[in-house]
This record gives sequence, C-alpha cells and structure tokens, in this order.
Amino acid sequence: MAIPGGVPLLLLPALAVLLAPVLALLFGFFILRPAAPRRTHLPILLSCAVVAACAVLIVSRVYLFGEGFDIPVAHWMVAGAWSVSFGLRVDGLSSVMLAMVAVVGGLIHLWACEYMAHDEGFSRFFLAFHLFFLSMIGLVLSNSYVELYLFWELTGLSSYLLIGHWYHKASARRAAFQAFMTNRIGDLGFFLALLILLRVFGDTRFLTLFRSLKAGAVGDPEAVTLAGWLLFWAACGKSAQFPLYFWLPDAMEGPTPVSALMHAATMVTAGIFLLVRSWPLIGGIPGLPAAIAAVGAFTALFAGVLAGTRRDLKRILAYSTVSHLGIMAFAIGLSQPACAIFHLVTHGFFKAALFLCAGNIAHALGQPSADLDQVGGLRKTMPLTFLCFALAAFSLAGIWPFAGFYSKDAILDAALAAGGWRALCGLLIGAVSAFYIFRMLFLTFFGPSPRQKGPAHFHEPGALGTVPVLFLSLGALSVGWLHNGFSTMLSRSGVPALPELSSRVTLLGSAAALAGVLLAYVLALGLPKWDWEWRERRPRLERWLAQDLGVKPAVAACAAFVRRLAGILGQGWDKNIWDRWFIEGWPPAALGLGELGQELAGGGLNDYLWWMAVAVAALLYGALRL
Amino acid sequence: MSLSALWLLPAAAALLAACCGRQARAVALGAAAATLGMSLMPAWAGLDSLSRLSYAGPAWFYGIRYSVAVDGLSLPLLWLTAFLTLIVILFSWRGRFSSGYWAAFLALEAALMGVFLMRDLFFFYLFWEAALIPMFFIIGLWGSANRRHAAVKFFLFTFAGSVLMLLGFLVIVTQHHLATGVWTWDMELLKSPRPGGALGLASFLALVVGFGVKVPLVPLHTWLPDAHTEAPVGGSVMLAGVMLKMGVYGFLRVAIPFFPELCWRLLPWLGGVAAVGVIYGALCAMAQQDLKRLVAYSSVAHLGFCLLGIFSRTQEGLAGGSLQLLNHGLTTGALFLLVGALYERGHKRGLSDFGGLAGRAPWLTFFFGVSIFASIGLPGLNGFVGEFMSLAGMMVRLPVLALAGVIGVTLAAAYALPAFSAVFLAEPGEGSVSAMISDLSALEALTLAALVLPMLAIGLHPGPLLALLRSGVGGLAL
Amino acid sequence: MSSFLPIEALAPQLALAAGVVAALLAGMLKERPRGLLRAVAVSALLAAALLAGASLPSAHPPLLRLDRIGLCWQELFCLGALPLAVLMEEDEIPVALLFGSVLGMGLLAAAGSFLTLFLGLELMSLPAYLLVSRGRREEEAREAGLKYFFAGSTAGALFLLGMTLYYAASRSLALAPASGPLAQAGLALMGAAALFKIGAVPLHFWLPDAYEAADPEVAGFLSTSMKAAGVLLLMRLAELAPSSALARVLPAFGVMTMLAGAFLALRQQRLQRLLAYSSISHAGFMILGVGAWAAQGATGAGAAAVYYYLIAYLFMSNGAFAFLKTSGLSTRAQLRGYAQREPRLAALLAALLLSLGGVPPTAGFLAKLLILWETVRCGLYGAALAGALAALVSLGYYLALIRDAYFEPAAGQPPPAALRRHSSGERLVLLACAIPSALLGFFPWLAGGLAGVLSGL
Repeated sequence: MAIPGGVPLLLLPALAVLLAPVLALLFGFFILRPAAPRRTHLPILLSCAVVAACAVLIVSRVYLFGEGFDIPVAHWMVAGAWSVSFGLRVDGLSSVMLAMVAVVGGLIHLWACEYMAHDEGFSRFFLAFHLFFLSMIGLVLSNSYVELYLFWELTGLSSYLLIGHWYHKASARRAAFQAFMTNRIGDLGFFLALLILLRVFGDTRFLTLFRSLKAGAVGDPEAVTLAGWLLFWAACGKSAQFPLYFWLPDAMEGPTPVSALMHAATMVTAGIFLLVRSWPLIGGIPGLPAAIAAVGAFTALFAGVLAGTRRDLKRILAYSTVSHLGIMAFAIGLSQPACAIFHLVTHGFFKAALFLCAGNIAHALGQPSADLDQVGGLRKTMPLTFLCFALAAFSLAGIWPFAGFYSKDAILDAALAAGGWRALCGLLIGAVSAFYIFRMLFLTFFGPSPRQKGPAHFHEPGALGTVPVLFLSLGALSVGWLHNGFSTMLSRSGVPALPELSSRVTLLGSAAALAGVLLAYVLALGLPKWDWEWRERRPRLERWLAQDLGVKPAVAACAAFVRRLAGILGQGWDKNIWDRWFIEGWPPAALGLGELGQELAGGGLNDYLWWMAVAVAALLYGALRL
Repeated sequence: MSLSALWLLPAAAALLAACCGRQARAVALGAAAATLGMSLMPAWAGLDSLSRLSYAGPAWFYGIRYSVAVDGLSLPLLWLTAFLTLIVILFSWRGRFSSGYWAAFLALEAALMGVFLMRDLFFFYLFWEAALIPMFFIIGLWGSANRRHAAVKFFLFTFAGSVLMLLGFLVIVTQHHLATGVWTWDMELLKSPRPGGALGLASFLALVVGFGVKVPLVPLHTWLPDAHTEAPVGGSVMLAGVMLKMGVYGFLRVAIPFFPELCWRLLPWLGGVAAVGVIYGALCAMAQQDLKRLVAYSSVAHLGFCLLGIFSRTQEGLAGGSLQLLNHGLTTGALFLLVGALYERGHKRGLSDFGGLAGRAPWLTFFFGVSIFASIGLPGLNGFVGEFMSLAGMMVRLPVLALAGVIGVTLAAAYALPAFSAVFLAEPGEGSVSAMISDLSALEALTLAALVLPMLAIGLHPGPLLALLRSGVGGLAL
Repeated sequence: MSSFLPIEALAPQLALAAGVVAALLAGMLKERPRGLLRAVAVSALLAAALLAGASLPSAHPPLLRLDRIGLCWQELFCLGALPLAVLMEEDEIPVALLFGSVLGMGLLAAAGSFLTLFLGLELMSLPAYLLVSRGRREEEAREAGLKYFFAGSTAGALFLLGMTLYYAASRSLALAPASGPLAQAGLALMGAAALFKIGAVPLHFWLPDAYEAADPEVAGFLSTSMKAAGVLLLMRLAELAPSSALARVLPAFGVMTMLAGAFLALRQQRLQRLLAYSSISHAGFMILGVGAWAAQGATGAGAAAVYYYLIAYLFMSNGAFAFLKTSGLSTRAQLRGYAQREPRLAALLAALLLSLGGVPPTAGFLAKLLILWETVRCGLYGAALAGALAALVSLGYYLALIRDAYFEPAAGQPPPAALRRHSSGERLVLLACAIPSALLGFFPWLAGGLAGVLSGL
C-alpha cells in the first residue's frame, strides 16, 4: 500500500465506497445465497446506503473544499522496470459520476426489490446487479487506463449476466451474447490503446500520462493519435455509437431495473466518461473531435428517427438512450466535455425515471415489456406514473425549467457557436427527441386510440415501486438548477467550464422542442390511427425501419461470415485436408512403400542370387572407380 | 540429493502401485501428496537460495552428467505438475481403475518432474521422451472411442519432433567439442560457443520443430485435438495442464539461451507462427461441436500467447508468457475436469447433448463459468494478467503481432460463451442427456475450488509469482 | 615355426570344443538326468566367456592375433548364444551345432590371417544352416535352410575370391593393409560377403525366410551372435583400409538397410518375419556405426558405439524371440488382447518393443543415440537424418504391436501353443533380457566403461 506522505481524509470514504459492495457480494454469495436466497438483497441494500452516504460526503468535500487525490494503492503487475498498479483518483469528474451512479443506482436497487420479488433467480439477479454496481464505482474511481479496463470488462461481464438473466428465453441468451461480443469488439480497441500507451509512455496512470502529454514529451505522436482513435472506438462499443449501437435495443431483453440502471443511466455512459477522462489526450488529436461530433450527431438523429417509429415501450426508450448518447458524444465533439457530463447526469435521472415508469406499466400487465397496442389512456388508472413520466418527458425534450433544458441548451449553445451543420444538427436533434418522447406520452397516457386496448386492467405498483420513481422524476426536474455548481466542480478536474446561457439560444432551443411536441400532438392525438395505418399502407418501409435501416442484416451477415470462416478453417482445412492428407497421410505412404519393396523380391532362390550379383557389381564398381 | 527425490519418489511409487492391486489408489494419493509437499519445500527455504539445491554427478561418458537444479522458471512448473497430479488422483478417486492407471499417472509425474529438473541435455531428452510412454498407455487403455488411433498418433507425432530435436542436440554437442575440445552436455556450458552458419540454423530449426510439436505450433498441432478428445479425464488434464508446457519450457530453457541472436533475427517468423496459432486456434475452436476438441483448440490459442510473450524478449513479455504457462495449466485443467465430469455422467461431449444444466447443477455451472471467463482473459482473473503482459511485451517489439494477439483475445469470447450458453443455459434439445447430469460431489467441488481459487489470487495479486518467474527467465531479456 | 600355439591363446575355443565332446557323450547316455545337456551347454558357454574375458591381448603370427576388440566380441558371441542354450530342447545334435558355430565365431575373432578368418567364417555358418533347417515346421524349415545354405556358400565363395585377389596384391595372408586396385577389389568382394552375413539390403533376402522358419530361439541366436560376427568381419576389413572404397560406401549401405528394413517390416503380419525385418533395420544402424567408426580412423575406443549397440541389441532381440517362444504366438492377430490374458508377459514385451524402438529410458535409445552421435561426429548429417527417420518408422510397427497387445480386445480363441505352461527357464531368459534392455538407457557410463575396455585402458 504505497500511500505517500499524509493520508488525505477523503481516501477513507473512497475506500469504503469500494469495500462495501465487495463485502456485500462476498457475504451474499457465500452465506445468504445457499442459506436464505430470498434475503440476498439485504446486505446489498445496506451497501448501497453506505455507498450513497460516502458519495455525498465525497461530492460535498470536493465541491466545498476542492479536495481530491490520485494515489496508487497497490502494485498489480510488476516485471522489473515495467509495472501496472491499482490506484484511486477522486476529482471533480469522478465525484460527480460517483454521485450520479450512487444515487440512481441506489434508487433502482430499491425499485428492483419489489419488481424482482417474484423472480426465481432473485439472489442471482441481485448478486450480478451489485457486481455491476461495484464495477461502475471502480471504473469511475480508477486512476489508470489498465485499471479502468479491468472494471470496464467487469461491467461487460455483469451486463452479459443480467441481460441473460432469464436465460431460458432464447432471445435473452442471444441478446446477452451479442451485447458481450459487441462490447468485446469495442474493447479490442481499448486493449490495443492500452498496449500503445504502455509502449509510448511506459505507464498508463492519468496523472503522469497527461503531465507528459501537456509537456509535449511524446516519443511517438502517431502512436498517441492511433491510441486516441482506438479509445474512441472503445467508447463507441460501450456507449452504443453507430455502428456498434445495435446491441443496446436488444439488451432490453433483460429485466427492467437492468435496462434502467445499466442500459440507460450508468453503464452505457462509461464510454462517454472514458472520452471525457482522456480529454487531454483526445483534445490534442487533430480531426478526432470533429469525427466524434459527426458520429455523435449522426447517431443521435438516426436513433431519434428510429425511436419515433418503434412500438415497444422499452425499445423506444432504448433508441432514445442511443440518441442521447449520441448527443453527449456530439457535445464532446464540440470540445465541451463539461456539457457532455452534465447531460450525462441529467439524462441519468430522466431516462431512469422513464424506464421505471415503463417497467411499472409492463409489471402491471405481468409481461417483461409492454407494447403501444396494449396501453392507451393510462392517465386515468395510473396517475402517479403518468405524473412521473410527464416530468421526465418534459426534461428529456429540454423544456424550461427541467433539467434536460439546461444540459441540452448548453450543448445547443456550443453547436450554434460552432455554426454550419453542427447548428442544424443541434436543432434537429432537439426537435426529434421532443417528437418521439411526446408521441410515446400521448399514445400511452392520453385517449386510447381505436387500435389500443385502453387502461382497463392497469394499477399503480406498491410503495417500493413508486417512491424511487418519484425521486428520480424530481431529480429530472431539479438537477438542472445546480448547473453552475456543476461547472465549478468540473473545471477543477481540468475540463473547460459550462458556457453561460444566452436568451437567443434558449429561444431557438425551445422553439425546436415545441415544434417536436406539436408534431407529436398532431400525429398521436389529432390522427389517432395514423401510427397504425401507415404501417399497413407501406409494409416494406415498416420492415426496413424494423431492421434499423439495414444495420441488423449487415451485422448478421458479418457474424455469419466469421462463423463460415471458422467452419472452413476448423473443419474443412484443419480436419479434412491438413490433418487427413498431410499428417495422417504419412503412414499409408510408408505402408505403400513397404508394399512396393515386397514385390521386388519373390521367394525364389534365383532372385536372391540375382540381387547378390547386383550388390557385388555395385561394390566392385565403387571400389575400382571411387 | 533432495531434488532428485522429486522424481525418484513418484517413479518408485509407480512401481509399487503397479505391483499392489487394490491399494494402488492409496499409494498414488500418498506419493502425489508427498511429492507436492517436497516440491513446496524449496519455497520455504527462501527463493534466493534455490541455486544451492542443485546437484551434479560425475561426468563419466563424453560429458554426460546427471545434474539437477531448480530456478525461478522450473519451480512453479514443478508445483503445477505436482498440484495437477494430486488433483487428477483426487478427481478420479471414485472411478474403478486398475492399478496400472495409478501407476501410469505416477510414472507420468516422475517423467514430467524430471524434465523440469534436469540441467543436462541427455537426461532432459531422456525424461522428455519417457513422458510419452505413460501418456501413451493412459490414452490407449482408458481413453474413449477411437483411443487407439489417438494414442499411436500422439506418440509417433511427438517422437518425430523429438528425434529431430535429438539430432539438434547432437550437432550442438559435437560443434561445441570441435570448438573447445571439451565434451559436455550441460545446458550452462553449451551456451558459450554456439554453432554458427548453416549448421547452427539447421540445429536451431530442429530444436524449434522438436519443441514446436509439443507447444503445439500451428502446423504441427493436429495431434492435440485427437489426443485430448480421446484421453480420459485425468489424461487430458495432465496433457493440457503440463505436457504442453514442456514445449514452451524447452524454448525458454534450451532454444533461446542456445541461439539468442537467431531467436532475435527470426523473431518475425517465430512470433508470426505464434500469432497465427492464436487466431487459428480460436477460429478452429469456434467450429467445434465437441466440448473437448473446443477446449483443445483453445489450448493452441492460449499457448500462442505464451510464445508471443517469450519471443518478445522483454521483461514483461517473458514474465507474462511464463505466467501464462501456469494460468493455462489451471484454467484448462479445470475445464477438462468439468468436461470430464459431464462425460462421466452423460457419456456425451457434444455441445447440443446438454442444455439447461444451470438449474440442475449450480456448482458445475459456477466452476465452468469462472473457468471459461478466466480462459477468455477477463481482467481480475489469471488469464488476463498473462495475456496482457505477453502482448504488452510483443507490442514493444512487433505491434502487428500484438494486434493479432488482441484479435485472438476477442475471438476467445466468440467461441467460449456460445459453448457455455449452449451447454448450461439453453433449453435441453432432443437427445440431450441433461437428465442424467447430477451436480458435483463434495470431493469434486473441493478439487475444482482448489483450481479456481488460485485463478482469482493470481488475477488480482500476481506479484510474488511474477517475481519468482522473472528470477528464472529474466536473463533472456534483450 | 618354433613353438606350437600357446594354450592360453585359444582357451575359449578349447572350452567350447570340450563342450562339444561333452554334449555328444552326454547324448549317448541312455537314462541321463533331465537338463543335463542344458547344464553342459550353459556351463561350456559361460566358461568360454570367462576365459575370453580373462585372456590378455597377444599376437601369435601368422595365424592368430588376439586384440581387445576380438576378445570383447568373443564374450559377445558366448552371451548371445546363452538364451539359445537355455531354451533349446533336450537334444545333443543342436547343442553340438551351437558350440560349433560359436567356436567358429571365436576363431574369426582371433584371426590373424585370412586363412583363420575364412575358416572361422565357414565354421560358424555351416552349423547355422543346420540349426535353421531343424525348425518346428519341417517342410518350411528345410526349404529355408537350403536357401540359406546356397546363398551362404555363394557368399563364402565370394569371400575366397576376394581373399585371393587381396593376396595377389599384398603377397601375404596376414591381415595387413595393402593398396592397389586388386586389393580394393578384393576388399569389396570380402565386404560383400560380410554384408551378406549381416543381412544388409540388397543381400538380405535369405534372412526373413531363415528367421521365420527357424525356431524363435535359433532366430534369436542368428540375429545376435551371427550378426555380431558379421559386424566384426566388416570391422576387420574396414580396419585394413579405413579410407578404402568399402569404408566410404558403408554409410550408404547402412542407410539403405535401415530404411528398407523399417519400411518392409510395416506390412508383416507374422511376428517372426516382422522381427526379422526389424533386425535388418538394426543391422543398418550397425553398418552405419562401422562406417562412422572407419571414417574416424578405426580407433579402439571408437568401436564402443557399435559394441554397445550389439550388447543392447543382444538383450532386445534375444528377449523378443524368447517372448515368441514362451507365448507361442505367431501372428499379430493372435497378439490382440494378450495383455488381458498375460499382464506380466505383456509388460515385458512392451519393454522389449519400446527398447527395440529406441524410446528412452531403454537401452535401444542409448544405442541408437551413440550411433547417431558417431555419425554426426564424422559429419554424415544426411545419414543421421535417415537414421532418425528409420527409428521413427520402426517405432511405428513396434507401437502397433503394443497397441494390438494392450488396446485391442481379444479376438477369438488363443492358439493351442499359447496355452501350455511357461517353463522357469523361459521366464528367466525373458526377465534377464527385458530388465536390462528397459533400464540400460539410464546409465550412459556403461558405454563409457566399454570405450575404456575396448581401447585397452
């Protein structure tokens, strides 16, 4: 435990934040799971409470006193001069993320207790869920890329376990494997970036790496550029940017708390966190921010359009998450990492709230997820869920004074400042996201359209089901107001502060949002049957949109190609050609040779003597000539 | 003389076990435990004093001398051998095996201990080949369906490589005699004047082929799937757990020290073959429908990582590569034990023959899951440490080979997880034997726990083991 | 000719002659105790071996010249004949023939001039033809014996022709180096006769029939002592002119014999015929050893590799043929599942076969290693590679035998011959052959000792 000099007081809560989940997991797995599986969640909830308390303590200390530290805790891999170590880093960025993860995570843990109460894999679910919680905390607090990669992969593992929680469903198993493999393809870039950084800098600790970057002491600039692009590739894999986004909508196969916490609020934002954390590296690479902005914008629009055409509630929210991740990437591309993080936090709150509402609706139906046909006019039977959903929807659309407005407005400001296609995209994104969320709001909670079943057998969930949702939606309402406190926090960790809000930008942003709302109102309530009619009129367009405009078949084709290549290599070449002919061909050849030798000499004596004559002649010739 | 006891005890116990019928099993357990205890002793005597334990007999005939020693590289391998032998004996405790079975495993342990102890090329080769005999009988007598073909193929294939290697040794010894007028087969003394030119290259290639067959390097690997598939549980654990390590150990102990410049000059070729092995092994594993063949091909990929690390000749590469030797021993050993357990219960090995075992056999699922994730290199478990350090080493030398390695890491998940979900998570299809699969017995669970715990320990805290390994192989770094 | 030959020079041969007389006398007794003949045979052979070991190198021109190599080879001949003496049935004729043959070999070893050389050669061959024709299967044995006789006598005639040519060049019958085309031609012809005796390809065609028709123990004797005599004859010739054409062509013959022997043996289904071809392959290694020895100046110590090979082969081959006699098996099909019936005998067979195949830690491995080592020392890398290939191919059929014995299920009824009880003599011979051949590989210093003995330290 190499802790230099005086031990900063802040280290204790930071260690507690990591140790609490570990202890809860060990206690849960070894003692409760065999003995009392139904009570596995108790130590876990306790650990969530401890984590939340410590997180609040840390955030307050960092915000008020500007404390923070970056300390190596233990050596991990050592080989002479070369070494990789574990460490903790608490600064503005990590404390903000920690707070968001702790609060949102804690609330969703509570919510999951009631939602998963009747599930037979209850203890297995909570252990995996808390493993994710631990890995997310670790990811946020790690002080070097290798350590970050450790927790990054652990989140991938826990998402595999949780998406595939109901493993008897074939679609869940396929979605879990697809999620893991896509993340793994993203991690290929991360792994390579690690190796490059290790080769160039000899150490991947943020402190030393960014210091030598700032000092310009970079041995191999092209390698660093490549590392930057690879980090972006890793972020695309984890934060579902185009083209590696297709696993997120399928990840909805998992239980709703998983979708809410991992695939909305925290895990998918790890990629954005990685980009913001390595901003000093990425910022300096020419062309990379522009590329990030382009990919972000395209993803946001692409997913936004798709979200507007989906029918399954959770799928709509999934595409909405992809779209918002695109927005965050867009913000980073505009050299505004602070806006990205701010939007990440606000998005964490309103998207989690939306998911929990969708979860409550589906729970009332007794299905994993509900479809637009099965709902309609729910505001009469589920008023509280309607209220929370509306709050979160307004926040998502970025309407004043909701949290979404502040973060989206900041991004729009940067977009307008950048001008050109970025400004247009900023506005379009605002409009599109407003459209799809209000379409969902109107179709779900307002007058059931003739094609829908209506609010007949819907009911509000129990206390545990509604209290966390309420908190989250209040957060979705209020978090935005802390934005200046927020920007001071981030500026301390070397990230440029949030831009000031200008009235021109507010006007334009709200106009775009209102346009989206109006369009949704017209299409959802004005023409109640429109959503169903155009699907019957143009089935080909429907199928094309269902296949994500051709992305899904392309992905399936790639997977099939790799499998066929493996088949050709594994069975065809290795077994039937190389092994059968080149390796197992030798014995028959030797036998054949033996056979040939057999014919040469019959049993007769004269053959013997003939052969003796030949041998003697050869010997004589040798003797006389050589 | 205590080091020689490490191989003399199992050899004597093998003879004893062969003679006494029913108690053979007890003799085997006692001998294996004693050997493990003795192999751990040097560690307590302090790692820096390892060299004091070496012993060298008189050199009577042309420099051939019985000399044993242990250092940072061979000590962990000795532990691995003793540990896996004990695990195998415990795991097949309940099987009704003849006394020959236990004798064969003890003889195998004696031979393998000998390989890692000997510092004289003659005796190194003698134990190297002698290890084939017990494994030949283990596969042939207690294997599954076409064990006969697999046993003979295994023996001949490895023998061909080894005979070539013997010629390499002979050339090296003779050239050394020509250069210095001294006859010696000692590994240390033979290092100085190396045969240069075409003869040097020829003898180096002979060594590479001899060791490459055992590693296995890709074109020479086709004995591996047959031997692993047909061997009994214990056989495939020892085959994958230790015998594959002899090849890489040979590179570390003989090939690289004897031809350092050639190794450096041929790095693109040697590293290239290892990298191809990584990807080729992973792709082939993806195409397998038989669990054991899948794990066998995954071994081809994993040992490719060891070689990538070792050929990089960097501190982290060498340490990572040799650590990956031990990691592979643990993970693949555990996987083969589990697949063996499935085979014992259901007499089937196909991926589609099971299904839905997660509910039925939770402990089996847990251990299989941990081993699978360790073998695909999930950080936090031991596979990642070895692979990461090996590739970090190779990235310093030849980035394109490191890229191939990283692709191999990614492909590893592509073959491992579908297999895991097909066997444990998917619904049992028709013709599935899941109904007959009962969960692990206490003894089996204990043995597997003994394998899984070190995985986590090495994954999180590889420091001491790396230091030990580096003291053995550090000298090869450039 | 001042004095008669000193007794001690021919002591071993005299002991054998006494053995012949004793055997014939014992044969005439009507009610003689069982095992008397066997006791006579064994004791005479042991006496001869001890005497050979005890006597010192000495030269008695013109007929005799006893050097270290000659004496060691004499011991080898007696040891090689022991298993036959133990396993032979109680009949005085074969015992006498055996002694005659070993006596001939002794003479050949002690030869100082071409006359004694030729005398020894013929004296050892004639009884062998008769021993072969006394095989169990009368008709087949007689035919093989006849063929062996015709081919053998042709070889003898060739030797004579070679001797005369050599005499023409060297003007004396003594084993002295001579030069000139006539001498080279003479050496070549004599070399051909020696290669015939060893069974080198393409002069090997008589060997499989003779070994298969003869009783297994006789075939054992032929493959060990007779082959050792052939090797000694070849060494004597190569000694005369180490850089002659014969010496230079030997490695080629060795490689050809090794490979042909190995490949031909792959197809054989009858065990004795398979062992015959395998002995041809081993002969190839011996010839290669002699070739390498000659290329390095034919020093005494250099012969250690060939001598060790002969010792190791003595144990292995006699053991293998003794197993065939004890188990009564004749074809590979009958060998199937033998390990289940006779686990202990099968274990001995496995040890012998692994030793024949040259797998460590057996004696065969060390033997092959020494030969390959000598080949590499004199730079014949191609020959060394061929040796490795031959070892690999030969291991193929040895492993196949082990696989049949251990891994195959027993097919059908075992042959009647296999059902009789094994006599203690048979089991003793098997153990005496299998144990050393399984473990000698561990003790390379034995070969070191031999090198010392041979170079007269």
